[in-house]
Amino acid sequence: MIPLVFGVTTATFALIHLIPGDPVELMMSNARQLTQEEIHRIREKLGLNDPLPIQYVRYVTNLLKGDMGKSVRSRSAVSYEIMQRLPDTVILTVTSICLVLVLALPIGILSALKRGTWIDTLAMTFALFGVSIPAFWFGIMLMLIFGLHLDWLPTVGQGKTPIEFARSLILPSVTLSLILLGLVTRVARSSMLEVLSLDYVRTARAKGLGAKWVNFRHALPNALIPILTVVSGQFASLLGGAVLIEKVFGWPGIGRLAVDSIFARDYLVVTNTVLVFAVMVILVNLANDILYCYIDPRIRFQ
Amino acid sequence: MKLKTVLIYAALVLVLSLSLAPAAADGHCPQEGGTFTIGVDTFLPMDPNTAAHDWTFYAITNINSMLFRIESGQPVGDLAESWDISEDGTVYTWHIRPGMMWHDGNEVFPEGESREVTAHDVVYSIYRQYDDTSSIMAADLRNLFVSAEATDDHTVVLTLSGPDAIMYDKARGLTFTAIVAQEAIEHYGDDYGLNPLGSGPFEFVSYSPDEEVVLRANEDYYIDPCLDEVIFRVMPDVPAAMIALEAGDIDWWGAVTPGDDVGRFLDNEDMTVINFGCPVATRLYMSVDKAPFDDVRFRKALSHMKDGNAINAALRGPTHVKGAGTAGPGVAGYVEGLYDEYHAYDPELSMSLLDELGIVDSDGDGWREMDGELLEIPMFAWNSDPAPDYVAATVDAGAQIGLKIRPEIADPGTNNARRKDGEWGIYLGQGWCGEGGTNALWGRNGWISTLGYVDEEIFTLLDQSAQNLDEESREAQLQAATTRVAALYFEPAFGFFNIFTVKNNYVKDFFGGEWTLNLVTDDHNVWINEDER
Repeated sequence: MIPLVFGVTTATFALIHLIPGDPVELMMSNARQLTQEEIHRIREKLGLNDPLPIQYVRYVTNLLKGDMGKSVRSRSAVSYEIMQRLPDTVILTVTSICLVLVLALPIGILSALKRGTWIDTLAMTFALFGVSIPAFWFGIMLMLIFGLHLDWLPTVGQGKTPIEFARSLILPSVTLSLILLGLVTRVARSSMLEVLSLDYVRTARAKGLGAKWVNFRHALPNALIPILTVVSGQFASLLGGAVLIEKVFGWPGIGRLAVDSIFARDYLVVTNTVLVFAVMVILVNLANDILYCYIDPRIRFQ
Repeated sequence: MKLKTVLIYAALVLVLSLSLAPAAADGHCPQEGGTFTIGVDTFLPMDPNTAAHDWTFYAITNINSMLFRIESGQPVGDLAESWDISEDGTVYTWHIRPGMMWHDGNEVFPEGESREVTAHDVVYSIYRQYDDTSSIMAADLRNLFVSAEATDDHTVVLTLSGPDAIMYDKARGLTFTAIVAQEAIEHYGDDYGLNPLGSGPFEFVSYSPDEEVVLRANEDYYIDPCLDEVIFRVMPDVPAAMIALEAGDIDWWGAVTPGDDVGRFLDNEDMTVINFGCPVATRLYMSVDKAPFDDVRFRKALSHMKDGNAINAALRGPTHVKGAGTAGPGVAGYVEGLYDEYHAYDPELSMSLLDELGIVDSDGDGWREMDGELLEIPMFAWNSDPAPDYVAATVDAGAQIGLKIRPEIADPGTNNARRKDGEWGIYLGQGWCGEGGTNALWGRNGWISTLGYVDEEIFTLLDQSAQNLDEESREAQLQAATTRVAALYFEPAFGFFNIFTVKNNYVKDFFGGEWTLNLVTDDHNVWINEDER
């Protein structure tokens, strides 16, 4: 894990500095224009005039001491900027994954069990809808229908009380879940179909076991492994999708912070948010590996 | 008189007096309380030294007192009750309003332990910006600054080395100097921007990055705010913000409203479209020190090849304003008729100018060559609407006269880097409204000087106007500078667009923002009519 984290930070630090643009000029462009003298003075104060290797060594040294540095744009500690937003992204992402599992698994399994029927066709149309529709457009449509016309849910922002918060979470999490919904439904169907055609399932049926017992006790656990692999593998893309959804719904997450910081050339914020993303993906994969053992006891790690 | 008649008369008098009741301006609020939610596209910590951002500054101007506020382009008193300017324009004497108190009930000033804001606080705030070399204090003001001195508790004397005619302009003057308490700066250190403390009409309550900032009414302000609470809600996606505005989830969209939405809101009787009153130009810049851009005839050909007015009208919708130059209608230095004189659509003229320069289609492939090689000009623009559409229209106009223009769309940071490197090509650009904007663009070391825009006569005219306190001759100098820019550079103009913002009609006594967001002043006090919400 440590070499991976080191590699990610080094590559990100180098890449973000390769993009042309000056953070100080961009920082000020909304308010007024700076002279070259002013830009130089501010860059000097922020340590941006130092050679890149020196800036990198300073960054790594500080990081090892637990100091992520300061944002050029907000002049706040990067750790503060990240920690203020990380919980919101985690809540949004986890809620979306839960929605995906709650919706996609039953639909996919039902579709496999009713293969070739109108239920299967309907389920696969639903999956195609999920795969094809751009999430940000879907979000705007939900906002128009449920926020503006029906006035059932808030269009943007986060509620303060638990109930308000839950209401404000509905539209963004449903929109974000769309990214995985179609894919997981299709994977659940194909995985279930594959398992249902295996010899041990046929044997179980031949032994006279009931359909429910065969399908859910024998087939489903084995069908879950590819689904879990897809869901954990797509976690990174869900984080990527969260960037757009956070922007559309004004949800204060870390994805939006990363994108805004890339455009603002806020080097330390970009490097550290990518570092946090990397750690999150590693942890999710680790959790996934542990889950494998519980689902299929034959899997053991040395 | 019967009792019934008396009651009818009394009711009539009551209705009449209510209908004729003065607005909230004199401190009387037709309806007290309520929350005013303002949609903004982004927000940063609220330290006046570093908050280089309009909407952040809008919050600052309500938390911290300013020496003055800007209303309809003119300074009006805030912390400074009045001020005098010496005849030569170098000495400003500010008379501080007595009885202004720092917000209390916080870590710095516990409840009931606040103190009065004095001239010493003003001096501290000015020097805090001046001494911090990374602060956003304008270079011009920094260069003119000699001293700030508190002669007594309620008098500040600011001395400049020369007069500054645009002291009140956002881009150059004192409008970025919000007054802070030394105790708060020392207590919070670098985190002051996360815990701002001031003496303005609203007190800071909370800040959630990328989400919202909450302020509550300061009951100790010299005018009682009608509103209970002000919320700045961050909404980075403009289409989503427009839906939120219509749904009433925000009450005012404080940023620029796209042309299409302005048209829609103009037809909506529940909304009011507010004109910011300072049109912004869209135009092309070029690498004027490199061939073929170094020849004025080529620049002229580029200017006349496109129907800029029609393009701008199509892309900006109801926000479109015909015109050209460094300043738009209503802004000092505006020259009427500049567009027709320098930028009128005349492709025939463009083609004859290119022929004259030897830029011709010699191989008959439909594209013009220069020195025997295809002349392919990159056009740099940023990646948000409507910039790519301006590029498409320009590419199309070029194709009509055989000039090949290659679009290069990138994010603003990449474009800025190209401009700073003086990269060869055409740049799509927007101006900044106000005199400071004109100066920042075309003045000495101006924003586009890296592309070769260097003309001593223009610099002199702008320098002179910036220090000229006589309004009439200053206007003449600015107009001369504007005209010279047009004649010398033929900076191809599309026209201006008005900055419009939109509010829901249940927000009363509110006129939008300028450089400062004035929610509570001697003239108006914003309130919400909850019955109409």
